[in-house]
Order: sequence, then structure tokens, then C-alpha cells
Amino acid sequence: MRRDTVVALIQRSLLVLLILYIVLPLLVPLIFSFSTLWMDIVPEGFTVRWYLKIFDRPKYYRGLITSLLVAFSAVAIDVFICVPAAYAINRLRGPGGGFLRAAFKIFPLIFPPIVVGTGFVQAFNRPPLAWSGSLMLAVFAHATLGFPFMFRNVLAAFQTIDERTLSEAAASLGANLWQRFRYILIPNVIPGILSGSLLVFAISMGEFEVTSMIAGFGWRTMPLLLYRSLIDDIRTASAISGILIATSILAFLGMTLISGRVGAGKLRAAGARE
Amino acid sequence: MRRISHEWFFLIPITVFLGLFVFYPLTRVVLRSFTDNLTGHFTLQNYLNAFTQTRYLGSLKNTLWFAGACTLVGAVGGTFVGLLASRMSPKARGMLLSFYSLPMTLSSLVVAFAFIVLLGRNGVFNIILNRYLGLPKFDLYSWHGLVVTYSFYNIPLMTLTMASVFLNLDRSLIEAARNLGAKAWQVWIYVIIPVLAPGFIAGISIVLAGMLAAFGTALALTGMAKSLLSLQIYSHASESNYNIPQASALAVVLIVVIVGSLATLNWIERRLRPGGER
Amino acid sequence: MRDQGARAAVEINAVTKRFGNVVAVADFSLEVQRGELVTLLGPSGCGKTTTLRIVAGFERPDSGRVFIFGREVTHVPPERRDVGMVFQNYALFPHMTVFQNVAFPMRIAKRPKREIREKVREYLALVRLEGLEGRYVTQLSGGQKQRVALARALARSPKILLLDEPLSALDAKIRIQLREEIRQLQQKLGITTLYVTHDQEEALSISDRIVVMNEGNIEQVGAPTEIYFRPRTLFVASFVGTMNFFTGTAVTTGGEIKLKWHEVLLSLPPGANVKPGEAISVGVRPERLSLAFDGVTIPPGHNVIPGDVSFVTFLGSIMRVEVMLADGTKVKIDLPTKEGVNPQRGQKVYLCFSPDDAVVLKT
Repeated sequence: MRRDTVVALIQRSLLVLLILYIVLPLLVPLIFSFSTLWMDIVPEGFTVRWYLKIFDRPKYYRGLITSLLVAFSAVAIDVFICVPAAYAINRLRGPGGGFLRAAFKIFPLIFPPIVVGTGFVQAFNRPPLAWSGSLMLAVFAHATLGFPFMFRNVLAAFQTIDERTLSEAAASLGANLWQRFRYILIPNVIPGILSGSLLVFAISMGEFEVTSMIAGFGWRTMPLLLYRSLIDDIRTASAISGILIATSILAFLGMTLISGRVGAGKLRAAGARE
Repeated sequence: MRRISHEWFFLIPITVFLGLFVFYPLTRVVLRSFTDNLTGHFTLQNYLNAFTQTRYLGSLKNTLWFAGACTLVGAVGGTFVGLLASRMSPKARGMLLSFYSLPMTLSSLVVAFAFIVLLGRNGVFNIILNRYLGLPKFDLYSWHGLVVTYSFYNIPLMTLTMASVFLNLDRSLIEAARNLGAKAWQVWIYVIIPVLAPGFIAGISIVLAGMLAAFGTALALTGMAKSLLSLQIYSHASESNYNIPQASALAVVLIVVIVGSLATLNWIERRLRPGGER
Repeated sequence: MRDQGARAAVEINAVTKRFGNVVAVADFSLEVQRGELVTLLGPSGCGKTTTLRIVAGFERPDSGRVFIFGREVTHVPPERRDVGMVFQNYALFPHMTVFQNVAFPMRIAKRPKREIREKVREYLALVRLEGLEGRYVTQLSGGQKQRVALARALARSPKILLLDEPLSALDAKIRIQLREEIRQLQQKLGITTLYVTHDQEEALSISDRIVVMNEGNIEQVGAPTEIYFRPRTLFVASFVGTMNFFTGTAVTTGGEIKLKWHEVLLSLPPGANVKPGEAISVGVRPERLSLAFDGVTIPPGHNVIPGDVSFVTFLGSIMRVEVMLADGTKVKIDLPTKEGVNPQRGQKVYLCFSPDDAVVLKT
């Protein structure tokens, strides 16, 4: 065999191995969730029984709906606070802007979920902030955990489009602040907003740590149900894992699609047809 | 007279949000850490406990060892994969890095579940190891097991950072150094390492900070069996032995540990930076 | 004062702008008349762009006032100023086609669709871009992008047009072509224009008047020929074109004031307002200097300085000769080329210039 064929072969197999490192742990719960029996190395039988169970029993499908509701609300809040903030902070000149940009970067590091949870457990248990155990508090918690990701994506979008010059051009053409946002800025940063939204959504769907600390009696999210079933119902656990893995994969497919379209200029074409 | 520029109004939503959901809870945590659980009076007992009681001291020690080990594995693995990724064709690299972005959003419980199926007592790999290779089973529920499981987050995280760091390494710098007569090891010492250092340290800062506070997967795998600082906080804040002031004090200790670690890494980075403080 | 403001198309009145401790524009006053093209010329950091941005409304002056056709706009936001602007890096909207870019200001102004279509076609014809309506701006060349930007700025029918280094991102050849087109378009439309550039050749070729700026201050305002032939300060003389300087002290000999430069006495142009003892520089353009290869052919009344040829560059239509003088000063001379005339390195020569071709500058 020629030498470079060997090298190519090694490279190819290395790539496969590196990808397997990620894919295998994701694939296993999926296979598990579709098999009737898996006692040995090879699983047996194909079934969607475990998934049907989730859609059958109120406890589980309510959990799914709760998770979706919380995730969508957290995304909405993060969009609402991060798009204006990223716009403003991208514009701030001088040390103030630099400080804020750095602060948002290290914020999630020094304020990790366990600290967010410890804070949320005790901060919202008396009027006027008596939100303990409410679903709203979970929404706020997920928005708190997610906003750095949203902020980073939107800020990067504002930075890459040279927002200041585009805004000035639009202003010199007669567009006021609202029109600049509506016609120029939003269409250009929408890929960043969408990427950030998918990220926050996926994180929220899988969030267990803080949710378990502030969970009320009236509601359960998917990860909370997964935690219970890990102990006593491994089959349901596999189906819930399957749903959560699918969410993550879909979110990343979406983000890849968005960045690919931006790269190819297709999104611009699509956005401008309006 | 200067008009207030409109940018500041755009900061109102995030200011309100951060005030309500970050600074206010954080203040509560700090204040409550100085109160007695039963009487509510001022006390330093919670901090005293944190540094005298063996369960807390032990958990702090465990946390530092565990986070250190996880960071080491993540740094070595991520640097290796990142280097490989930077040498791949753009298409292969794109595919690899897409896959390596996946764990970032994955629920800690899903990862725990995946590793139970793969490496649990009757996990697929353990059966293969034991039955066909005659090797002893891998114990997922040990410290090693936790490090291996958490590497599923850390190696990809580090890979993403290092791949872009290696890609941004300007090849002409290396060529210029070689052209100026530097030997291979000198190129590494004087050019490559100083150029890579900021990205590398930023990467391990994120991994280390995350691991100092991690607990979801550990809780799902080993319950409270492995004493980590984060798990101690969790048990006091939300489980049977409810003691919010103690949890708060431990949380403050955790924040101080994280800030201290990040500051140390930042200090090292500034020393390594070309033309930085010596 | 208000009356003057009403007459001028643009009146900038004692405007000052600081960024932190840096004074970007210092007490700047200027009037631009209707239909005039005025260029702000200066090195980077001289405050020319800041001045333009103050007129556009992107920066607020710390003090002073700005009027456009008699209306005070000092605190009016840019979108309500009726000012068209062309940016250095085009600033085209990347998510829009050429058509949509040019249509944008009319769309914002809620013009009827039909009118927009006609106008866009009209403006694109004006900048010679017919047929590119459907293209995305990312698919255009630099020159085409800047034409679109120009059409877009004009599509608002602005009262004044502002151009901020519009050609500096383009290749040399396109730059010359486009600057001619901009000038022709500006004259055809009769639109009052403020133009910012650091390129003195561009400024000389395009302007009715040039404002030379340095460190936030106006050095000189005048027509291109005036700026070139009669610079009033050392800065203008050295920034615009090439200038040779002879620096020394004014002395009186035989009732006439001359410049004593080392051992040589140089006659000054008639009417030079210089007192004896004053330190002055005499500036001469390379093309106003001539060379004599012997003492005989020197024109009468010319100043003469001996030297050695130190460097010769043949440029086709002209030959640039560098002559080193006794004190080490190097003087540049542009000679019309003629076959057979080849100054050699090291050759002894005499520099000659008529006092009429010299400018006197106080140092």
C-alpha cells in the first residue's frame, strides 16, 4: 500500500473515533429507548412503547408541556433583555464598554447554577416577591442561566455587521431609531438571535440542577421526571433521555443551518425577499 | 447641556433583570451566610463550620482535587483533539466541531444515564471488558468514573477553544522564527506557547470554574456518596438537612474559590503573554 | 449673523468638539455656498471627519452651532437633517439588493411604490448602474458599491451631500475615474457638497474650495490653485504637493529685503511682508526650479544656489533630480524631459528660480 493511502486511512479512522466519542454516549440511550430488551451487549426488539407511555400518562406529557412552556418563556425573556443590551454595549466606547463586555463573559463562571439555586431558594419567598415553587420562578431561573449565551451570540452579531456604520447610514437616509431596528438591524442580527434562542432553549429543556432546587409541588419538568425515573423506571428514563437528546441535536442542526446560510448569503436572500 | 444618549435606555431591561435575579439573590446569600439557622441572629458559625468540620473541609478538598483532575483531562484531551481538528480539511473539521458542540447543552442527567448504560455495573463496555477481555470492570461510581463522565463535557469544550486557537496561530510566525534561525524547541518556547497561552488559559478557566461548581451528573450517578462542596450546598439548600445559612456560607466559599482560581490563571496568563508583566 | 446663515447652504459657527482630553475640532467656522463643493483636507486625526460627522448629526459639538440653509440643526438628529452621506466603507445594507438599498430612503419616507421604482431607475442611471437592480450588494465590486452608495445618498433628494473619504477603499485607477464622475454629477445636480479626504491630489482635482486642517484647526481656506501656489502656512505648503524650503533670517541689503540662507542671499518675491531679523522660509515647488549646468545660462534676476546632483529618477514626462546643497539639504527639482539631457550623479549644477515663483512663510 502506498504511504499516503495509509496516512489517509489513519486520518479517516481517527476522525471516526473522535466522532464516536460523542456519538456513542448519545446513541446508546436512543437505542435503549427503542428496544424491548437490553440485558446483554446487543439490544433486542424494536418498540416505541416507552415513548407512547410518555404521551399516554398525564404525569409525563404534562412534564413535556411544562418544559416546553418554560423553555419558550425563558427564550422570550432573554431575547427581550439581551437584544437591546447587546446593541447598547456594542456601542459603548471607552473603558465602560470593555468592562461590561468582560463582565458578561465571566459572569456565568463565578455565578454557577449551584449559586443561582441557593440564591433563588431564599430570595423569593416573601411578598412582594413570593414566587417560591411557582413555574414563573423556574422561567426566571432558566432565563438567568441562559442569558449569557444569548448575549454572547447577539453581541457577536452586532459586532460583525458593523452596526454603528449601518445605523448611521440609515439615519442619514431618514430612518429613525425604530425604523433602523425594524429594517436594518434586526434583519442583519436575526441569525445571532436565532442561534442564541436555540441555545437557551436547549439548555432550558435539559436544565436539572437549579430546577430541582426551586421545584414546586404543582409542576415537574422533563429532567425532574428523568431524575425520578433513573432510580425506579429505567425504561421511561431512556425515552425521556431520547427526547432531550433529540432536542439538543435539533437545536444544533438549526444553528449549523443558520451559520451555513449566513455563510452562503442565502439568509440574506431569504430575508430580503420580504 | 448634554442629552443622555439613547443607549442607556436600552440597558434598562437587563439592569432590572440582573438586579432582581443576580444581585438581589447574591446579596441574600451573603447576608444569610452570617445568620444563625434557628435564631436568625448574626453569627460567624457557618464559616467556622466550613473551615473546621471535617465533612466541609473534606468536601472542599475533594472539590479541588476533582476539579483539578477534570481540568487536566479536559486540557490534555481538548488540546490534542483541537490540534488534530486544526489540521483537518475544513469539511472534516466542521463536522467534528459540530458534534463536539453537542454536549454543551445536554442535560447532566442524560449524560449520567448514557454512561450508566455504557459503563454501569452491567453496562455494555463493562460486559465486553469483563467477559471477552478478562479485565476487571470499570467502576463508574468512583471518583475515576466521575472524571471520565465529566470529560464528556470538558474535552469537547476545550476542543472548541483549542481548535480556534490553533487555527488562529499564524503559520508565518513559525516560518519567520525558523527563518531567523530558531530551532524547533525554541520555536515552541518563544513563539507557539506564548501565542497559544491566552486561548488555552481562557479555555481551562471555563472548564475549571465549571467543574468547581458541578454537581448534576455526580448527584445522578452517586447521590450524596461523593462529598463535593457543591453537593453539600445542594443538600443544605434543598434536601432533608435544610440549613440555608450554612448553604449560603458554603456558596460564598465556593465563589471565593472560583474567583481565586480564575484570578490565579489570569495572573499566569499575563506572565506568559509576550511583552506582558515579568 | 442670522442673515448670513440664511444665505449660506451650510454654516458652521465656532464649533468645538473634544473626545476626552483630545480636542478634535477647535473653534471651527466655515460657510459653504449653494452648489459649492468644499473639501476638508488634512492628515488623519486632523478633525476633518469629526467636522463632517457634526454636520451629518452623528456627533454633537461641545459648543458652537451648525446651520443648513439657515435652519439651525445643531441638536437635530441625523434622520431629520436632510443630509445625504457617503461612507468610506460604503455602509450598504448587506441584506438588501441594489434596488432596495437605493429605494430605502424613499420607502422610509413612505413614497408611493411607482414613484420609488421610477426614481431608483433614474438614480441608478445617474451613477451608470442600470441593470444591476436585482443584485445583492455583496456581489458588487468596490467601485460599484460606492456608486450604489452615492445613488442611495442622492435618492433622499438631500439639501447637502456629505462624502467621507469615499474613494480611499478603492484601487488607484477606479479612484481617479470615480472622482471625476462625482464632480460631474455634483455640478450637474448643483448640489452643495462637503467632501473629506486625506489625499491632496484628490482635493485639488475635485474642489471649488479646499479647507486645509491640522490638529483640529483650519490652516487655510481657498481655491485649489490658491492653496497650491500661495500656501499661507508651512503646514499647508508641505502637506499639499511637494515643496522645497530654504530657511533663514531676513536681512536688508541695498534697501531691499532678502533671505540670508547660509552664505547665499535670496531675493524675495515683490510685496513680501517681511521685517529684517525675522526667521522665514522660502518655499519653491520642484517644477518651478530649473538647473543650469554652467554659470552662463542662468536667467537674469534668478536666485542661484550651487549644488551636486545626488539622485536622478526618470519618470517619463518629467525627470526628478535631487540636488545636495553645501549644507547637506536635499532639493527636489522636476525637469521636463528632453532626450540627451541627462544630469549625472555627482555633477556640479546651479539651482535657479525666479523670486516670483517663491512663497514666503513665517516660521
